Amino acid sequence: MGSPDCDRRATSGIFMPGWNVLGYHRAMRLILLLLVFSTALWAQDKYPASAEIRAGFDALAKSEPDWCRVEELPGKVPGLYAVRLTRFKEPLNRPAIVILGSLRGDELSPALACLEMAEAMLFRAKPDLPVRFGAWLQVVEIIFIPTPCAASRDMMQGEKPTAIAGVIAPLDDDRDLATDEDGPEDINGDGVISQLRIKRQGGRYRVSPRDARALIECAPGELGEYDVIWEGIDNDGDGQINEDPRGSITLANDFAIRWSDKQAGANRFPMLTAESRALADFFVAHPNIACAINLRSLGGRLAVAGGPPPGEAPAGRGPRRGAPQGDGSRDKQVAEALQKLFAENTGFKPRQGEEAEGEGAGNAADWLYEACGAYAMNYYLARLPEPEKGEKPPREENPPTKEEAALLEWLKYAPEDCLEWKAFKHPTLGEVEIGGWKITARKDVKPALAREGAVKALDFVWELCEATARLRITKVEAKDLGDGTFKIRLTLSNEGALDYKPQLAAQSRIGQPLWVTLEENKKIELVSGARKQSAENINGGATVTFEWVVRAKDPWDFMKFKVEGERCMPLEESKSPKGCEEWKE
Amino acid sequence: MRMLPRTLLGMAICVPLLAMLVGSLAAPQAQQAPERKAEPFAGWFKRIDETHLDFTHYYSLEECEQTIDMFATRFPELVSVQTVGQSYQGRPLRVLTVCNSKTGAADTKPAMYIDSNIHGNEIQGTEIIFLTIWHLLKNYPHEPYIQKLVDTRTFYFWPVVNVDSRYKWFKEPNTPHSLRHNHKPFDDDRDGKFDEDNSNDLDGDGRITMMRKRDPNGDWVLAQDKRVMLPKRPGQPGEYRVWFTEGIDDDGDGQINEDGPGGVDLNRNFPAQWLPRYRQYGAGDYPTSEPEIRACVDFLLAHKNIAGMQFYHNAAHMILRPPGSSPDAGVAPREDIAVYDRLGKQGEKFLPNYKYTQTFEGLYPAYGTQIDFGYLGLGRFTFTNELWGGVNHDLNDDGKTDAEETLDWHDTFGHERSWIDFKPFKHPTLGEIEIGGWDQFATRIPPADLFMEEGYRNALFTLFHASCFAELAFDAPLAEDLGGGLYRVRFTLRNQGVMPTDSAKAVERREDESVQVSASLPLLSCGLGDENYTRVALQKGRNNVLRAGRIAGEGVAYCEMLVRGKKGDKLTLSATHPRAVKAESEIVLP
Repeated sequence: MGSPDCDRRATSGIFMPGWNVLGYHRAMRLILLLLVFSTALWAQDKYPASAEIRAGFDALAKSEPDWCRVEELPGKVPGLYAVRLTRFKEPLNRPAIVILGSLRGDELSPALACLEMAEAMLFRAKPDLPVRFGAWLQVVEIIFIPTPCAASRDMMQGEKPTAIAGVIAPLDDDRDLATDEDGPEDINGDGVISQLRIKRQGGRYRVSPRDARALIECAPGELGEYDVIWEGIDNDGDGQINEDPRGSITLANDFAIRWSDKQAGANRFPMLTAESRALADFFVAHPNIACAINLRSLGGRLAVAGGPPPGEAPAGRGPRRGAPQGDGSRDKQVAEALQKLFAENTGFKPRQGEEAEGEGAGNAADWLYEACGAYAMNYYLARLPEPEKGEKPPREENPPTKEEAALLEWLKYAPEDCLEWKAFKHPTLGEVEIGGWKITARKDVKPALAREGAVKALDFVWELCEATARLRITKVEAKDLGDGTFKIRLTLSNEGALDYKPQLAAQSRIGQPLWVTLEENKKIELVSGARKQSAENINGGATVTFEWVVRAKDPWDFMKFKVEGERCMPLEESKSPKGCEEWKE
Repeated sequence: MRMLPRTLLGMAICVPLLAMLVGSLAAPQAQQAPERKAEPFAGWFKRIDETHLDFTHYYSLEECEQTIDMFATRFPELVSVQTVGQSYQGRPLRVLTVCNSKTGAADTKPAMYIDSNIHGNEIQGTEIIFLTIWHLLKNYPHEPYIQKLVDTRTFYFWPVVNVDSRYKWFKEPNTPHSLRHNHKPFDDDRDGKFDEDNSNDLDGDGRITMMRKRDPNGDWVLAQDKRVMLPKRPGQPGEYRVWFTEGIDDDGDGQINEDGPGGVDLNRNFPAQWLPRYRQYGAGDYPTSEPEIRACVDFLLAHKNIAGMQFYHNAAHMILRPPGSSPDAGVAPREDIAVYDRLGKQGEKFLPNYKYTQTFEGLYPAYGTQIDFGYLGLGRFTFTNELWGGVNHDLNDDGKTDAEETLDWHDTFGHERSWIDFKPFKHPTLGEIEIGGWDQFATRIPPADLFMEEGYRNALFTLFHASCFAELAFDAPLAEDLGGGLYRVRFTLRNQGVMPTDSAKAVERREDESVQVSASLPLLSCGLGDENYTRVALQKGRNNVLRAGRIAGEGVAYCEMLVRGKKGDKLTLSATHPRAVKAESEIVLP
């Protein structure tokens, strides 16, 4: 299998300018995207439910059986399935890019983005279109896992919408031997769970002078007038309200690299949920996964997994525990290149004073990078629209705090997420007010913005496909040593921009090496050198060589070389010693 | 012939010792039997008398299964068996429970969990488990100490965790060190093939021993006893090259025995301080990736009543406490270390040649281990005993037993089977070599007929551990009539056990539970006070039970309740904690 028949440039390293796609591609893609995304869904302002997402993928698989398959993940957990996009007619091993959808239950957009991206990819796979994603799908496999937290995701838009970050698991938060018995609920019957405020001199919150609906947490020394909780009552009569809500384990932070029980939503121990185990079993069973993208919703940034912090606990004792880890400098360079690509593709720029939140302990990307040896990243699909030019806010004597500014920005974006405060007679708290933010507010953007994010993410994946390691036997040379003896040298090149595997994976010996074999042939005797040789890694744009000394009765007899690896398509080359290029020192 | 006099000498030493120890197991008439009191269950003595356990050999997996079945079917009043999962190769994972259900269901009593053979080649803990069960059953009728343990505690015994490896270790020739891992195929040499170059019994003697070849470039020389090889000293010419396992290059890659069966080191697969394979050899793909460990973790999570854990390994003559993944500082609270020290130092008395120490510093760092899962994860008090650890046979008084002295010890005790003299062999690729050395039953395990004393001492240490569990007791509750049907009841709730109801680690990890005191009369309020009840902190929230929190080992809680009742009413107080022996007290309202 050669390289894809879409335009390809010489890519001799990830920092070469050639890594960006030509303007021609961009124009073509725009036309296609307009075609793809001008569907009925475009106009909707509601996210499809997880079952609808699944139905969408099933329909794709049915219409494109040679390119798309839907498979249940091990363990048969509802909502956990993988959608594989590749050229199934040729069942060859290919490097894979896995794209995780809504790993957090309270983020709706990643699952939708998965479906839209898959539709676009398959649409591009049609051979009669000018730009063919299908060319890439012949040499790369794209795997979507759209809804790992299907049940909690659907609760965001259920009858009584609520936000559950992880997989649902009964928990006894207040340690009273009852689970999930006292959570927020709609007590005023308006169909949503929102905030409940209790007037108290010296309370923790004050009203925003810019929008009376928004409450701002007081700074030290500031005296507030309200205490705020989510809408609810003391269901279990223990004097506390909402202290034991519906339990959940944050799947996104359930993985065993730097896992911590202090992380919000942590289980008692890592990777005990059926979902995380099913995902892990799937990843382990697919060592061809070279890159992993965990789609997130709001943030507009790319967080590339970067390995353990310096000074982490030393390695354990073991006779064959692998080489020590490297300094990660090459992986760091790759991360920077990916960040640059992300910025170019999305146009998202960090705003002044904005600090990116960490991904938290035990996050999936760290596990994919450090345990599975894949380039892994958290890709935030969207960010709120920038203020239009000329819309500069007037200079204020007391400008809003960062928190207040964020609230006001959201209020402007989605005013329907915040309700007017209304008086309510609470059974135990007495006179209170219910209103303010809905419990599902500020978790995700509206579908339109998510779709825009999906378009940009598709571009990013396109470029990642192009960057993924692509191996080619570029040269087989022979030096005649006389009497039918030849020294043979095979050169294997990585024509992708990314290394065959990350530096951490190569130095820690995660996964198998690449093997190059000179196949047995009765007519050609192997005189020196191992028949099967290996290389742990080939850097992007780089080459490695393999050598043998053979003796041939007839120098025109063919030698057969085979290249195998977990993350590459198998390669074969037949050459006779005399038919090889001349060995050049 | 050379061995005969030493063999006889060995027998002369061993036989009386064995008669004394084995007598307590299989032939009660061989020593002075304790006075038998009333039978606890119909036909108990007959069943005991008809049970013959032989500890002069090690049990194959089939024999282990038969023994497990025997205990469960012959002594159903105290023993039950459950299957908690399946191994990688589909064998059942079976746990025995010893508990007198007449005095309460197993899960209502504090429990001691004991497992063994998680490493496939570390076998003798299984026999210790059988010995412990047998000791409990046989002595239950007449030893108050045992009776109390069986009536007030539960014992969970998992004799063989790594069933697949034990099966193969006995079924096929092995070395003392082979089959440590489970049987999930693993590509040790990273050539794309799995488990394709195991050791081979080349000379067909049913054993895997060593290979040596005369080679002046070798790193080994012969000792004075020509059977023993020593590493050459710097500057000394070499005499032999050594391959520590017998075999050939099955896969033609130029290496011998570099890709044996399996797998995952099951004791590096627990979800506590787990690290990936390249940082902890044998770790597995992710914590609990192996069915054996998933079953074990599920069992431990499901049994909140487990207060103490004991894991048997070999071989270092050690009583190990956690942590295995770090030094104590910042990880193991001082208060818990004090409890460990109290148990561990007593353990050194039970096991005089064992050293009580911390795993990370005393043995080696290890991640994802059971001992850390039990303690750092669940906050339970856990020990690993490294059984055996070589012989003490220092003939030249240099303070250590070297290889020659070890061999001499084996000669003395007549364990010829353990050592196979080197014999010439024509190897397909190495040419003229010799094959011989220790067989699989040497070095890591004692000769079976010398196993009993060490086994028994270990068994007694685990029973001692169980005897130290928290044990609640009421000290003279007093009720005071406050008028209007209101009574104030004050009492001291005592933990008579050495161990706290929960470790400090359990509290830190939120794996702790409060001691709860319930009252048979309507409870209006309750609280905890100081010794003189000058300050009573009232319990917030619900008052259906008094939550007395955690009580330290040999500590107390001063409790106060307001109940509604009338003169002459009986008030029953019950104190419970999943990991403590519960207490009950009854008073009559004045």
